[in-house]
Amino acid sequence: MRIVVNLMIAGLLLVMAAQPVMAQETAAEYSHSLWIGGHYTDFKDYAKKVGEYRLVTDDPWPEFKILFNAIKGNRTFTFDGYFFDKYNAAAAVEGAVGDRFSGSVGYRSMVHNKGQDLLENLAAQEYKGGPLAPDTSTADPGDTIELGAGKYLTHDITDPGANYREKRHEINSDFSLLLSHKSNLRLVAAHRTIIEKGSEQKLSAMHCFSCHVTSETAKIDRQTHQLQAGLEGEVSKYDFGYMFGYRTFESNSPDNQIFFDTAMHPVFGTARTEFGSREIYQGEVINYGILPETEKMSHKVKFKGDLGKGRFAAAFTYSTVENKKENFAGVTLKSEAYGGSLNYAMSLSKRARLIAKIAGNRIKNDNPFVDLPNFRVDTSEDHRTDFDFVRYSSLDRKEVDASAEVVARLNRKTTLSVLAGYDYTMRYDYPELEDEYTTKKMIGQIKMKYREGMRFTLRGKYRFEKTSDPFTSGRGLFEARGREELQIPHPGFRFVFYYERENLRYQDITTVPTDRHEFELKSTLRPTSKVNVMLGFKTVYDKNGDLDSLDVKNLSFQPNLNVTLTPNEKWSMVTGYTFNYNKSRGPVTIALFDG
Amino acid sequence: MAGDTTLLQEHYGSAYTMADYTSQAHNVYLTGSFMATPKLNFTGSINYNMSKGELDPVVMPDVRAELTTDTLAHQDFTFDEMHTYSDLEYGYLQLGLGLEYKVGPRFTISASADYADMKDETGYVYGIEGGSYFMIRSGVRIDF
Amino acid sequence: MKPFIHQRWWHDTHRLLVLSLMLAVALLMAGPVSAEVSDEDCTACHEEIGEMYAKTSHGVYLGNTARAEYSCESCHGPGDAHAEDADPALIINPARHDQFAGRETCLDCHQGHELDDWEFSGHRNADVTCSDCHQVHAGVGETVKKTMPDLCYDCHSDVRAAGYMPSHHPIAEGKMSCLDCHNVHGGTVTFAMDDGGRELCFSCHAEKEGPFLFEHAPVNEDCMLCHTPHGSVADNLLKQSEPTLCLNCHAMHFHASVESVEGRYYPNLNHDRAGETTRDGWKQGMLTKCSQCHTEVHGSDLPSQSISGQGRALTR
Repeated sequence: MRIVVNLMIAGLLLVMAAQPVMAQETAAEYSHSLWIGGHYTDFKDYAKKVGEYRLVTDDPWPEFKILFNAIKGNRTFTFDGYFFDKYNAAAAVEGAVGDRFSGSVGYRSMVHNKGQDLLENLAAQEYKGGPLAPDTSTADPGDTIELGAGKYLTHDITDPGANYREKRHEINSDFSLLLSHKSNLRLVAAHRTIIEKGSEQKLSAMHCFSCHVTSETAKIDRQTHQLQAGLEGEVSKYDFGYMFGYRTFESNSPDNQIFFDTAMHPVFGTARTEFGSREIYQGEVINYGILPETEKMSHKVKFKGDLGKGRFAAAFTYSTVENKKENFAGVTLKSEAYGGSLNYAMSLSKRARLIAKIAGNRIKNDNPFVDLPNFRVDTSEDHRTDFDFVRYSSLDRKEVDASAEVVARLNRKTTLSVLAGYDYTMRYDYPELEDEYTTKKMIGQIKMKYREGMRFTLRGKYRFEKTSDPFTSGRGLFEARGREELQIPHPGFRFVFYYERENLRYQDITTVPTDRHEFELKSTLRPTSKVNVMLGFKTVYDKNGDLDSLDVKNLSFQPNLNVTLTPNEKWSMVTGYTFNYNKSRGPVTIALFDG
Repeated sequence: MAGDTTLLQEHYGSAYTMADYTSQAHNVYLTGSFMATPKLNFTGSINYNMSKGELDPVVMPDVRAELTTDTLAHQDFTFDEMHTYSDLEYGYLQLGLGLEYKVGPRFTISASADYADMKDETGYVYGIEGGSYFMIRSGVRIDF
Repeated sequence: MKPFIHQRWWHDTHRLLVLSLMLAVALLMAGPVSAEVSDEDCTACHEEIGEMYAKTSHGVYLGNTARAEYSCESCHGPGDAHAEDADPALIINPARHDQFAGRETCLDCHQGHELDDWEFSGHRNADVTCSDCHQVHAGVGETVKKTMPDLCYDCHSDVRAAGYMPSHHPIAEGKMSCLDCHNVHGGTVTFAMDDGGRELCFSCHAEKEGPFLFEHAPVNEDCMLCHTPHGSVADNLLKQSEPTLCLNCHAMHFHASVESVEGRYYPNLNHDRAGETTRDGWKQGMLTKCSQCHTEVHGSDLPSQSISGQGRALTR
């Protein structure tokens, strides 16, 4: 609230300060307006969905808007302020002096209400044909209860009916200052700060002796700062620029902590050593749901200019991002990326253009060693299993995207565009597959525009994508039935553990599509200057053709109609209808296992 | 190898079936303005959205018929009700009416009323989220 | 970072002199000199525009330059032939300046870095011109034809519908603009740091970037594998509600086949956690919302509980 008032006051002072400057000379244009009013809101039943982005109270609020526009010669000045309620306000100041200086400072705020997961679905006790026993929880001695024989699934909401919401404040600024006319050297800078405060529901899940989920209220206090600053200029006939980017994210809210149950047999409370040695942690108060603290830096060099019959724009970027919070492996993690892009557009003739683009990127990551406790220390040494591992990152990759598009005017009414593209993604040490995993995508696209004067326009588009080895989350889906190698325990073990069966899953199976078809038609009809009818239809069909036995496919279509009517100077109307339909067929899989 | 290990008959791999998930949304809108006189302007808007997200019933094959032991006797591999756990269905209606009256060259008064109603037919994990609000606003604009 | 206007020849007097001399020689050699048409001549016919023009940014700006009386020609080029025959074909109309006619007139002055990639942009290739969205002859502060997001919805009406779906970014509420994510003039988004499309989402949702010790591979791949940005039926802009979305890549939790007792239960070791359930209790628990337990679906620095799962289950 204080920041809003301060910005409003600053804006008004700026408006007042700008007045004499703007009033010095003759030719000038001003438009000022002030709107003062108020609103009252009355909510009924559950307010947080219908008022997801509103202050859900039944209070009256004063409201005001102020707008100030001025232009004088080569100087412009704008102030725009709006106060709706204590969580929803905006203000912006913009100004420019010819091409020498331009700048803006803005603020906006909003509120986002969030519901509370009631967790009512988390209540169960394993049944294995146990006997009936007296129910000691009731007064009637005749009441009985089925004695379960194993695991429980329970939940606990520590703060029922909590009012979760997040207030978001954003401050941004943007400046450009001409340093030299000779080379058009310009200093440019932009900044943005996002502050999020409030509270949210945090869930912690433990399965030390039974499955238990606890809901607690956690404070939100997050800040994101972004800065870009650099120089732009001209050398000979080329434009160049250098931009430095910097972004940080941190959370100042207190760490969420909870006691994780002591591991033991879920019914008898025995075998604590055995159960405990299956868990990384248990029987202690520890942090959960902790947010990272990130610092990102980037350097970007760009060039653009004329080349041959066309124009090019090239950029080279190097960036790093570090999570400065020490993780479970006892290290902080960093990834770095470098890449470049080149765009080139040229006229092939008076009626045809070529637009070619290529971009490449390499992302590298730290690969820390994760040291885990020994599994099942209670068994003899031969039966222990070591689960330590090197964490390879699925982000470690090389990407190349290229496309070439020719746009041609076939005749006065018809324009045709044909695009061919190729995307290549090679993931190094892909952790789920323990090897390289390369996805290649071929893209073909054809677009057409037909225009009959101002009265009728028809746009059509067909796009096809053929992907080999599309992204897979790996080891996710299912084991094949009847594979005997799944049924053999480790030497010395009586059981096949679930994790062992996970390792034998179909590792690279994916439901991400290999074939994708997109078709779109959009027509605009203007029978008179008073009527504008837009009719569109878009459909997408995709499937994974590599999964012969699984009929994985998606179909979506979306017809839409929009009509604008201005029958006379008094009336104007916009009406329309849109239907979104999406049907996906995918697998539902479960391991045949004794739970 | 076989002599050193026990072949556990309950480990049969996975059972699976294919299921459809459908999401659909209808959205219809009408906005308009009517300038009754050069000084008096009315605006109005209606927006209605009906959305559904549904999983079709999941029909697993009869895996029990293929089991050769009773180790999994107390496991239940039917999922007939699963599709009801996460279905979503909402209806969202918004209405708005407003007027502006130019009192003089520098003064305009305005008033508006907005109504919104959200219907939630399923509840999901947040309980029934249906609710409504009504808002009235008024004010005066000064051009200077 | 939005230079109001950039006219380098106004400032480069040397270049101006040389160009003027060359132009004078060329004109003398070419024959009769075409007469400049003043703004007054233009507004004699285009009266309505003339009234507004003086109050526009362009009108005021050019009104303070040496070309003040001939400012129409600054954008429309030589107007004498048109003035004589009143033929629209005899004068430059920037509104009809499509992609095949070379650089747009507007770009002669408006060269800010946000227009760096206009040449290669989707709007440009689709024959969208500056005047499809901007109005040149309107008053100060009215440079776009409509306010956001209605301006965009005029062509992208499908996105309007998505904005009213149960889960949506707050565009309809006026808390966000299309421009927060899209650079309508082409190229990358304002704060993009050029390491892939995920950066756009992380510029606001920075807490989801990591890098994390325990990753969820699709987060590193493409946010759009799970989310749809304009609006969805499912919460959190998910393409499908949980658990269906998760089941596309993951088998059900193996506890989903566990049969539960019917009615009241209370754990032997912790009666405080007693409750009511049904035979399908485990199914409801495991097949309603996976993220009730797997809360850290975007990645975590803390391990999940079981050693055999190597801490990768994203529950903490």
